[in-house]
Order: sequence, then C-alpha cells, then structure tokens
Amino acid sequence: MFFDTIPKALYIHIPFCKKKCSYCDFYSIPFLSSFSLPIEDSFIDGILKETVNQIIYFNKLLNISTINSIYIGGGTPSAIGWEKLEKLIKTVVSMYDGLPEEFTIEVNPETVNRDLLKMLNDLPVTRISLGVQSFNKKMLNTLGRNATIEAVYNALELLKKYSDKKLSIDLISSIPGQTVDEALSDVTTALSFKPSHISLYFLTIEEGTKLYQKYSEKDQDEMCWIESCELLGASGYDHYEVSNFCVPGDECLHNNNYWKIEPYIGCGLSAVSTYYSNNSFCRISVTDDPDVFLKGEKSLWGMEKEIVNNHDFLIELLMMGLRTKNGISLEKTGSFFNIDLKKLLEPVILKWDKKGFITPNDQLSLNKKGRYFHTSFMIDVMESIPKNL
Amino acid sequence: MIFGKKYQYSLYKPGRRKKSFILKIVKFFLIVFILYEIITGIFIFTLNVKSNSMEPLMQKNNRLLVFKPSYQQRIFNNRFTIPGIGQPQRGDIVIFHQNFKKDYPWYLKPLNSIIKFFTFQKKELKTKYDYNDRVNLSRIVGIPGDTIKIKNNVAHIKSMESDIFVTEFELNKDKYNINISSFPDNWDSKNNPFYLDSDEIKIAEGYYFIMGDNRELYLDSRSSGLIPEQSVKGKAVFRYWPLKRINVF
Repeated sequence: MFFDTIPKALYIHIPFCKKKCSYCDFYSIPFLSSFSLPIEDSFIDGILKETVNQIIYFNKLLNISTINSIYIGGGTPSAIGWEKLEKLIKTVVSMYDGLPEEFTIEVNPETVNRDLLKMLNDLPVTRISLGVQSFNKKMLNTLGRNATIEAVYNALELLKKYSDKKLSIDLISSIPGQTVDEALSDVTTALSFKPSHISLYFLTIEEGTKLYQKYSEKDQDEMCWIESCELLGASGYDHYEVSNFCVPGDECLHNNNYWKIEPYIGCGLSAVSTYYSNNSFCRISVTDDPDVFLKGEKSLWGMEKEIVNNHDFLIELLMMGLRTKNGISLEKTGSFFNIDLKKLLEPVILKWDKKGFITPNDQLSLNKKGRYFHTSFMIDVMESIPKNL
Repeated sequence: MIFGKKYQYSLYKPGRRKKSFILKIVKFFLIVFILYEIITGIFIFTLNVKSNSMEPLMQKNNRLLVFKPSYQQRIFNNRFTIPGIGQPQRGDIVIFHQNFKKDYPWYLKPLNSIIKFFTFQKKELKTKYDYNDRVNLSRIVGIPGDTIKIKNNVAHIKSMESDIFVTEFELNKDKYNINISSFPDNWDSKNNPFYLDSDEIKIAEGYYFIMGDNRELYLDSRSSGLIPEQSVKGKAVFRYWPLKRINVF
C-alpha cells in the first residue's frame, strides 16, 4: 500500500485565544472581545471533554492504538491555563500504547510562565512551538499580536531557564511596512536563542481578516522573506520545507506527515482529519458551531465527510510534496493513480529545469530557489493534470 | 560600367552615411556608459535608502550621495587597490557589505550594469535571489585601537589616547540621536540577548565596530562582530532628498 490506512498523527485544536490577531483566519473564540460575554469555565471544560470524546471515537473507528506524533495547536492552547492543559495531555497520552515520538504544543509568549513550563517538563511533550512572529514592536502592532515585546523576551528567557524541550520559533516575514533589515533583525534575534527549529512564514493577507481591510499584497516586500530564508540557510539551518528550517535532523515529524498527505486525525472544534477508506481519500471537517459540537457523539460533533476526487487528491499530493526539499516520487504517485505522471508533467519539468529550479534526482523536487516560486510552479502543474483522472 | 566607376570615386555612397550615423550613436552611448560606470564605480553614486537602520537621522526613501574615494577601494573582485583620501573615522556614516550570500561573479556585475544603464534602471538581471545585492548603511562607532563595550545598546569606548571609558556621544564631534527600545523600569534587560551588557572588545588594526542609529535593529557589529576595512565601501556625504532635509554629513 502506498499510504498507511491507520492514522499515526493526531492534531488537537484548542479554539480559544486571549485576543484574535489581525492576520489570523483560524477558528478561535477570543477571551477579550467587546462583543461577546466572558467565556465561562464550564464552556471550556465542555469543549475539551467533547474533544477527548472525539479522539476516543476516532481511535475505535480506525483501530488506532499507537501514535507517532501529537500536535496541540489553536487558537492558543496555553490560554486555557496549565491545569486544564495538563489534564488534557495526560488523558490523551493514556489512550495509546507507548509514548508518541513527537509531541508538540503551541504556546504564545504572553501565556508562558514557570508553572506551565514545569508542568510540561513532567509530561511527554517533546517540542514547544513559540508563536513569536516578530521581535519588532511596530510589526507586532501591525499583526495585532497580544504579546508585547517584553513578553516575548520574557518567555524566551523562561524557556531557557526552565524548559528542557526542543524549541521551535514561529516568525512572520514580509509584514506590510517591514524593511528587509527589520526582517533580518528578527531572524538574527531568533537565532540568538538557538532554537532547533524555525518556521518562517510569508504573511498571507487572508480575506476576512483585519489586515485585509487595511493592506494588500502591494504593501509587502517579498525580499524580506527571501533574504531571511537566505540568512537562515547561511546560519546552518536546513531549509527543508518552503516555510520551515531546522538544525539538520530536527525536522517536525508531524508536519512531515501533512506534507506527505499521510492520514491524520484532527479533533476539536473546526478541526480537519484525512484518512483512506475503501480506496478513497476522505476528509472530515468538524463544525465550528460550539452548540452542535457540544452535543457530542449524538451529533457526531457536527462532522462532515467529503470524498476527495482523484484529481484534487493528486493536486494536493503534488502541492504538499513539492513544498519539501525531498519532493515527491512521480513513479510511485503515478502508479497509485494508474497514470504516467512523469510523461504528463514532462513539459512543465523541462520548462522549470531550464530556469534552474529543479533538483536533479529520482524524485521530483524544487531546489531552494525553485521553492520561492512554489505557487507559480503549481499553477503550471495544475494545468497539465487532466480533470477526469 | 561608367556609372560604376563614378560611384567608386565619389565621396557619397548610399548606406555608408546611415552606418556611420548608427556607429556614432553607439560610440556616444558607449562613452557615456563608460563614464557613468567610472563615476559611479569609483567616485560617487546615489543611494536610495531602503532600510530604517539609521533612524532617526535617515528615513526610508531618503536619497544620498555616497563618496567612494573617502576610503581605500578594492576593485575587480579585490584584485586592485585604489588608495583613499583617508580611513573610516569615528562617526562616519558608511555603506558596507555584510555577506551571507555569494558575491557577484566578475562577469555578471558589468553585464547587469549595462542592462540597468540602457533601460534607465528599469530592468535588471534576476540575480538578486542568488547574489548579494544589499547595501547596508551604518555608523562607524569603534575604530582600530579602541576598547569597546556595550551597555544598554550604547557604546562605551576607551580610545587609545585615554584610560577611561566614555560614551560614544562624548567622543564624537557630530551629535546624533539613537533609537533605543524603551523598556519599562522594572524590565530585566538580560532577557534580550543583544541588550545584555557585553564584554570588552579590543578592536584590532583594519577592523571597525559599526552600529546603526536605530539600535532596535541588530544587523550590525552586535550580532555579526567587527567588520574588516575592505567591507566598507563608501561614505555617505550628502542627503539631497527630501529637499527640506538636505544635509551634508
């Protein structure tokens, strides 16, 4: 079998955060919102309980007894307080035989404190992903981040002192108004804390976010992101995926799973799972309506199943696979869909090879420079894949 | 045949005039180009400031004149040296190269110059992804012979002629302001790696300690150490844009 049928990765979505950031289009319920009433503790408990119930349901349905990687993201997982988080982590880990090889939790700087880090030290969490985004006051303001620059440094200092977990720092580049020097300065500062992993995202101004009302792509300087990538490369970090860098060998297993489109289950409000059953690729999306979700198994957590057709599935495989340094095997992928993918993509590959963007090996992969143009490459690829696969 | 002979001895030949006219134009542009290259390559060139590393003195999109003969120059990939009027002095605003990318190969830079010149700077080779294309603007804070330490992002310097440390501002003839993040009073500055009071550094011959006036950016000697003299590529001498901020440095 080309793909595993039993998911080995678990994503848990914690849909709460202190305040919604201007660029964020993920589903979350902010604690600080002038329009809503304060969130009650029992509501958070209810959501967490149903999230756990959903994990149990999936484990039974898909016969999952061991798990390779767990990722708790959000929202801001650490915003619900360390006691609730501890209970959640302990419950989830106890469901499986053995410990996961990788267990990541997303943490925001303003929520980092000694208690949280000490609690995490006693649990089988292996990575902490800190959402810094920028070390520059002006940029944090533009992004509408809740954390102040002091909170960011404070969190990093506490992590250095009290945490024994691997550290990943999230940064955003090409923020409207950012100069190349400011972007490089952010990277330099992040590097001084010696993280094992850095995610450096090119800011996408999504429709419906606060940023979208104020700025457009014209306000962004792509060189901020490109020069930052170059600096990270020159500092010895492996640019193993479009937006991800690591000390060689410290790739994020969980994300690798996504890029290979290996099955995973996603639990919690608005989470998404993908897996294979009856030779087709299924995507399950959980509702973002808390009332439906809280009804639990009776409403099946408001899950909707979509069978992804072969064409879309192949595009997704190529799109995600080509984000990585290793790329994708055309032979294996082609034989899964009973097509000669090599022949189909030959003109596109030739064209991009002439530009010097393809890594010459058995797999199809874009080289470092080529990955800067991942989106344009994908447009060419999409045009050469027939609609009726 | 007669007519043929007539043409042979005539000064007028159709076609020749056209050709020589084109040749003249080509020659003219070639000379202008060479002059332009010599002037901008060795003497003076304009710089559109793209960074905010020198705030509050300089803002983004300020235009400067950079004078190259102020300092020694290395040309043709460091093959030849042209002596300069002097050496970088304390307080000079300089442009420098800080490379984490490859330098342009010898043949690409002139090629790029030709394309840029003949398209009025509108087109250039798409080489910026591969090669170092950035010009950094910063201030010379420490010169050879200085002992320097950083306290709260201000340089404290013991110069060769002195036994005590004084701040960078006391040693400079020209006054300048710097931007420092205003952290709260109870803030423990140890959390910021570059804010941390540094050890003393003795600056060796041929090296300089540079810092931008905007100390909130760390792309200078605080993060990457001293820079060698050959990386200093010229001195910013004059700001001609915006007009109301015209200034000689």
